This record gives sequence, C-alpha cells and structure tokens, in this order.
Amino acid sequence: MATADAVTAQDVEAFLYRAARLIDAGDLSGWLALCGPEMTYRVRSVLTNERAYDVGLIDDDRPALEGRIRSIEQFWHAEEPRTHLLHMITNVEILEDRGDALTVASAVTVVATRRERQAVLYGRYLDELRFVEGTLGFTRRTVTLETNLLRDGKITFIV
Amino acid sequence: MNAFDQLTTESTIHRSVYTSPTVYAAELEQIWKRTWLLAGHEAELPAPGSFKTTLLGDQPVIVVRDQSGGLRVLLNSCRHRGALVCRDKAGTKARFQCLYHAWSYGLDGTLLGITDAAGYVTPLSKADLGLWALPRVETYRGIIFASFDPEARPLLEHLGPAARAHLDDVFSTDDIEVIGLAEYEYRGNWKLHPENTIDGYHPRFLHRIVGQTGSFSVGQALDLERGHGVLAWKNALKSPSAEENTAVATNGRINRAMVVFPNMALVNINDFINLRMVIPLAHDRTQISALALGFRSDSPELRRRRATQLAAFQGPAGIAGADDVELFEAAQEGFAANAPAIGWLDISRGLGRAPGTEDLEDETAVRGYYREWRRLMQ
Repeated sequence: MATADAVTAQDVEAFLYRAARLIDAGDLSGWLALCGPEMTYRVRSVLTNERAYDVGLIDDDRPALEGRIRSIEQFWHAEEPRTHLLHMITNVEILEDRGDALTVASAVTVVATRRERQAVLYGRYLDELRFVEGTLGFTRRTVTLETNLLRDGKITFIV
Repeated sequence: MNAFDQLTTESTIHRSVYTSPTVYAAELEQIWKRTWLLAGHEAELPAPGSFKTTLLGDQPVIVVRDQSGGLRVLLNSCRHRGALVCRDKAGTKARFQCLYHAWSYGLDGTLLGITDAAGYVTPLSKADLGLWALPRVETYRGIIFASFDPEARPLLEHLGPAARAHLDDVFSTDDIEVIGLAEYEYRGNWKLHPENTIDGYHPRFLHRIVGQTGSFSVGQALDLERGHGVLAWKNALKSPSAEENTAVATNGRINRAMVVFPNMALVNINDFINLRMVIPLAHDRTQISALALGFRSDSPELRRRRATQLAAFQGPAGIAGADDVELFEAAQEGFAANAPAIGWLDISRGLGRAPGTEDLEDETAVRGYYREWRRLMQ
C-alpha cells in the first residue's frame, strides 16, 4: 500500500487506473468512495479555459456529484440504455508532491458507446489526490476537454 | 407534397416539417433570409474591433463592432474568390484579410486593399467590392438581431410589447457580461430546440427529477405573438443545493423559458441566464450556441450560483439539457415513421382555453411559433 512517505509514480498510476476501471464497470458508488467529502469535479472545454469563463460543462461539489450519479443511475433517459465506457489514461505525471497531497496531470481518452453510436472524447485530467488513512483518494478532479464543440450534444457519464 | 403552408395547422404539424430537405431549403429562403435573427449579445463585443464568427441560417457571418462603435454583420466571404476572410471564432482585429490573395477589409466591410492592383488591366472598383453587409442590424436590451431583408419591419415592432416586457424584466440593467459559452450539436431538426423550450408539458416527464419534486406547476404558457412565446412560472425547479432552494423560494422571482422567433431561446431559472442561438446545419442536424450571462455587479456568491446552476441544470451535461438532446434525437428518429395515416403530430393541448387562463402545460406558445412559421412559408 502507498504511504505518504514513499508514494511512487506506479502507485499513482495504479490508483488512476483503478478509478477508471470502476467508472467503466458502472460501479459509480465504488468510484465515489474514492472521492473525499470536499470533492469537486469539474469538466471544462479548452475554450472555457482560454476565456476564463465561470461556467463550465460540469461544476459539481460532492452533493452535486452524488446528484449526477443519481441522474445517471435513475433519472436520465439519456442513460437508458447506459453508455458503455472505456477510459484510457496516459501521460501520468506527478506535478507536485506535498507529502500528504499530490497534484497529478494525465491525459485521458474516453470512448463512449451507446445505441450503435460511438463518441470519443479527448481531455486532460488535473487531479488533486490526498492520503486518507494511508489510501489515495481524490479531492479534486478537473477535466479539460480538447474540444469547443460537443458533437454528441451531451455528457451523461463520468468523464 | 402539399404547399408548405399546408404542412401545419393550428393543432397539427406534419412530420415532413422536420424531415424534408425540400422544406428545409425553403425555410432557409423564406424564414432565415426574411425575418429578424438573433446574432449575439453586445457583451460579446465590448470594444471597437471585437468580433465573432457564426452562421445565420446557412450563411457564414462576422458580427463585429466597427471603429465608431457601431455593430455590423458582414458575410464572411472574400469578394475576390470567396474564401473566409476571418477564420477565428472570436477576438479583436483591426481588419479582416483573406488568406488566399491577401485582399483586406475594414471593420465596416470596406475593401481596403487589393494586392498588386496594377495587375488588373481593367481596374476593379474597390467601392463596389466591400464585404456584403446585412442591411439591418438592431439591438434590444443588448441582444443583437440582424436581417437579410432591407424591408424587415423595425425590430421593436417585430418583438412586440409582450416579448419586450419579458426581456426588460430579465435584462433590467445594462452591465451584462458573458460568463460562459457552450456549443453543441444534435442530430435533429432546428425547430425541435425552440419548440421544446416553450413546451411546458414535458418537464415533469422528460426531466424525471423535476417530476419527482412536483414543483413545476404554477405558471402559464403564453403566445407573445409574431411567433414568440414564453413559459413563465413562479416557483423554482429544485436545485441540488438545499440552500439555493431556500433562497429561491423566498425571492419571488419569475422563471422564464422564452423563444423569440425563429432562432433565439432565453432561459432564466433561479439565478442562471442562458441565451441560446439556434444554428441549422441540415434538415436533421443543428448546432446550439449557448451564452451564459451575468451582470458585472454580481457578488462572487451570486456569480458562483449562476455558474453551478446552469451547468447542473441547463447545460449539455445538466439534468434537463442532456435529456432535451436525447429527446431531439429520439424525435428525429421517430419522425421516420411517416405512413399517411400517422403523418400528423398533435399540438392541440389547451386549444380553446380562454386567453388569460392558459396553463403552463398548454401548447399555446408552440402553436404561436408555428403560426408565424406558417405565415412566412406561404
């Protein structure tokens, strides 16, 4: 198990892969369990970032993120049938190691398949990770999508 | 096929209104080239030289503030060989220059220079070769409208007093600021977006979380004439934040989902203000360009609420926004079922109710939209 004293790039990668696997398996409760109570989850486009706009695509605190997962699991018609997902994470780099907290950058490709259609989203993760009782967890995930125009009109899954 | 104006009645719409490339081609000429079109908001163009590029109907345009501060809407096409003269989405420029042979144009569209003009043995008349400018550009409450028709009635008259009153209420001060922009496409007809905006029957069914709260009920669907319409209601949609719900329940504001015919939707629920421009790409493909607006006087807390509420509810990853897109595509796919006996869709809900007693779930505003569509398509 990773410890604050001796976290390795491999520990971080294993954590990110595990988080991706839980989303792809549809285990959103399992994924949410990796997120701390102060979790913020934001998705922005490159344009939103360039122009420093306040409004992004997703701007969730922990309660809103829990609400988003309820929408995915119970409310959204757009998730009936559910989107099949594959998250591929590369370019993992620890930007800052503050002992009990890390800033980690990575690149992500999300393949989203539903109703005979396949969408591919490319983006960058900027993650804030923290050790809680010796285990890595998210305190913040910011996703910047490499697009200004959502060709598929909507995002109804965890990017 | 019937004459175009026979494709809708006061209570029905024929499916071909959404599926026919012929109807779409006629709309581009008879609606998009004739009436007033939403082109943007002045807050997007703060200073001389500020511009954005977009499509009005199928026409590529530059919306620009010229040196004297006036607003121009110019066709984005060089008068020499037709290429775009501006390939940026938005920004600030002193002039526009074609990449092909470097002809350059001023912010007002005037042709400034022809490279190596001496090569034209018969000299060209620069005065006749400016970028083509839409003959009518007017604003109301900072909202920019343009028309290809020099004879279009004045904008104030086109909007009419009822629609203007709603715009006056939403934009009561002029310190409006752009705080976000989301652009997304859907595989469906362009009219699906505006008609859905003023359909008060769907929220508690399509947006199941709204149905669960049971709070979307007290209000009216109003025909504002000239094709414009609004859903106006007092109580708030339930926000994920209990604190916001309490704040909204006590402020007594009116929420609105409004359409200005043909291509503007304005949604103002709780604290967020979303001004959406409809861009038709084909009979079955549409782009939405959605501006999030706030006011420069916003406190940081209010600005934050505007941002989070919009993203959570109306944006393309929002509770309502995502399912609206799901519906547009499910409708367009369903319209393919077009046997003679089932060709007609129904918009009669609430028809016959006395004016002033309209229910929020009546299709009053949708009928008004198609009445104007029918008038222009004659």
